[in-house]
Amino acid sequence: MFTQLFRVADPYHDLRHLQRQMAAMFDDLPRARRRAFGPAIDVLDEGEGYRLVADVPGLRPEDLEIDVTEDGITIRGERKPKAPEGYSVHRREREEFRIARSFTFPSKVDPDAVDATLDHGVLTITLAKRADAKPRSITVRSAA
Amino acid sequence: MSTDKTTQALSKQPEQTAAVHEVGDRPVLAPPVDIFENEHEYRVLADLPGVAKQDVGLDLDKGELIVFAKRDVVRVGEGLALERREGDFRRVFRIPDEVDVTKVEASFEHGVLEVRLPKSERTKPRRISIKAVA
Repeated sequence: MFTQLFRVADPYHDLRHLQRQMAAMFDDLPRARRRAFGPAIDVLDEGEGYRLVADVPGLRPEDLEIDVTEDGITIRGERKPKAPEGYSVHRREREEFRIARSFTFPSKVDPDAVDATLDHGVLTITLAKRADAKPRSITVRSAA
Repeated sequence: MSTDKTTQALSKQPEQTAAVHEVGDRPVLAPPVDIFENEHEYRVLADLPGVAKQDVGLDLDKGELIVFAKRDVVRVGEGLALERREGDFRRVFRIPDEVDVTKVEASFEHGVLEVRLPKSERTKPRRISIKAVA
């Protein structure tokens, strides 16, 4: 009975315990796992549409998979740089990565008006906003 | 030459891969590299995304290989996510003496630079056959 009371007296006990567990979990994430979050991506709102730019050096078009809905986009891709056969390795900094990124846009896009290009290791995707989501300027009439 | 010694010789900036140095008002990024070696050559690969072929430069001077590239990150509109780092690429490597600097070749594909540094013939290991004394 008293134990029960004391436990209730510290309402944050469970929360703190959970917090500690979470912190421990993230600290334990191996480096390789953290890297898997992948390449740097910019997402820009250009008014008429959105532009998504990702640094993906070494990827070929066939390594990428892009799914678009009217609400967002998902990009998947993988890079596994291999050491050439018969060579010894002095330095391995170019990382393996796996992209699996989803973005939800603040307004609807037209899934039929999407263009994706890969140029010098940079993926650029342009998406047009749906006509009813584009900004409109309203002319103010004089009431006179 | 032992492996450790070669690694030291090849990479002048071993721990500075992620470092950002300011040169003038443009930040400079050290690109990640892979370095491989076999009996004939060294191969250096560097990630240079977003760089045009004509903006990649390679200098061989006084036993150093300098890789540099100009990159412009142009952004229009409102940024909803901005992760790409701005800056030019630059990295310096010390080249082992055995490299024949007149035969260095480079190619650039999909944003990855590959430099091949052949070893000169006279420094390649040679197997000496032992002649039996008749």
